[in-house]
Amino acid sequence: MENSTNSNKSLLIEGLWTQNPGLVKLLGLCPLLAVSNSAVNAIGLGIATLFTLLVSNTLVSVFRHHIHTAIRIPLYVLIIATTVTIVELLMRAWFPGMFAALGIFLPLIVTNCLIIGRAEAFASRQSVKQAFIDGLAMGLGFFAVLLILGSAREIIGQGSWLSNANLLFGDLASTWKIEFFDRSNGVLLALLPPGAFIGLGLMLAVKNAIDASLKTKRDTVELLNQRNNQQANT
Amino acid sequence: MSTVKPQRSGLLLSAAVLTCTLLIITVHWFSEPTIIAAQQKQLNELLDNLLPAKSADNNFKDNVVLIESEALGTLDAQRVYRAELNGEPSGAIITAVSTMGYSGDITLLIGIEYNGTIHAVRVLSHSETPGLGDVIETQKSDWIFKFDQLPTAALTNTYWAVKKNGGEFDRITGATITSNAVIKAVERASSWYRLNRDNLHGKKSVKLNQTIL
Repeated sequence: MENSTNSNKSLLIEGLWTQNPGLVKLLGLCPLLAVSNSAVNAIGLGIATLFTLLVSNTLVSVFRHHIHTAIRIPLYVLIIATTVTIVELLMRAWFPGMFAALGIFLPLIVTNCLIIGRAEAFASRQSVKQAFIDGLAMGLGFFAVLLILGSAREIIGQGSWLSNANLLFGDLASTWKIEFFDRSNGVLLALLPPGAFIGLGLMLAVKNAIDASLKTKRDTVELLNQRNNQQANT
Repeated sequence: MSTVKPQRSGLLLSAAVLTCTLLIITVHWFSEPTIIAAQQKQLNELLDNLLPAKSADNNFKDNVVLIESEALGTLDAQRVYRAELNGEPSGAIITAVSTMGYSGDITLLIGIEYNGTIHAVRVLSHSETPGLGDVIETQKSDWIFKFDQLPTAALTNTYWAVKKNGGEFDRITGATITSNAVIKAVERASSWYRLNRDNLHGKKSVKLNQTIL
């Protein structure tokens, strides 16, 4: 990860799959588990986290030659806290309903270890462009996990998808809600904290299963190639 | 890199703190009017639905008194909006707090007519369990509409509880504590209004410059 020859594509693959913050690194799980009880909440927190990660990664990389080791942690925290405060103020002004729905988890983005982790492990040693793309990739990876978990919990728990979309996208979006079945028939467990843990566990299992089957396929192909080569030699 | 003087580190940190503070002050300065407007809009929309249409001809949203009474939940001053029709008191919107919820305070707005009939109750803020206690919000269920048109002057004490506890209200599944907290807060506030309404409507209104959300 420390070499500077990471292509943009490999950075994106890392963020979205191989090094996914939610499914592989298991970073920032507190907000991930707490706010993923509906698709719209997930989208709101996902966007706020993505934006914070982009800004903090870029700023840390821009100033990486001036930030020396002794004071790097307070400076990272300062940069991240400033970004989050600004996001919070903007959200209160223009998306008050969303601000109310996210509650304490918006200011708590400051403590999301994903963000300071990327600042320390990646952005502080890479070019601005690379740091920006890494922030984008990791943010999108986090966003994707939030969205999938939030959608699944909302559909299973209250039988709808994208309810309250107007909080985030304006009054036009109030018709986006899709009802699958009546709220009272929902599985309450999915909405409660245990549902979040179970849902994330299932997502981890599915990801590992996909990785394992990909690996088996790759191994088989390799084995066949080897055998073919041996036969050709004899 | 490792031989940087501590003075330089200090200067650098101070400069960074100063820059960040200035940045936040700037954003705060230009977003504040919008924040206040958004809160006011939210509050106004709530207040509009809490009294019967055409029951007030005064500007009741600005006709506010601050009441400190245990009947409204806490000893902090709570806002009471007073409505008048043709110069006579016609009702009030009472801000009341319940500290008996499952987690944290539940702040309610209770619209009550002068004769003691409740027009509507809405939750202003709460932190009850999502999926259980949060069905006191109108977006989540219609439970809170059970208070609509309730003639409180004609009700006995035993009315004010969930059916399981001998009262007359349906409880929210899995949230008996939340249901009871709201019911009790409405009971206390409405009986306080019936006892104090004449005194209340005679008081001098206060000027407010901040929203409560």
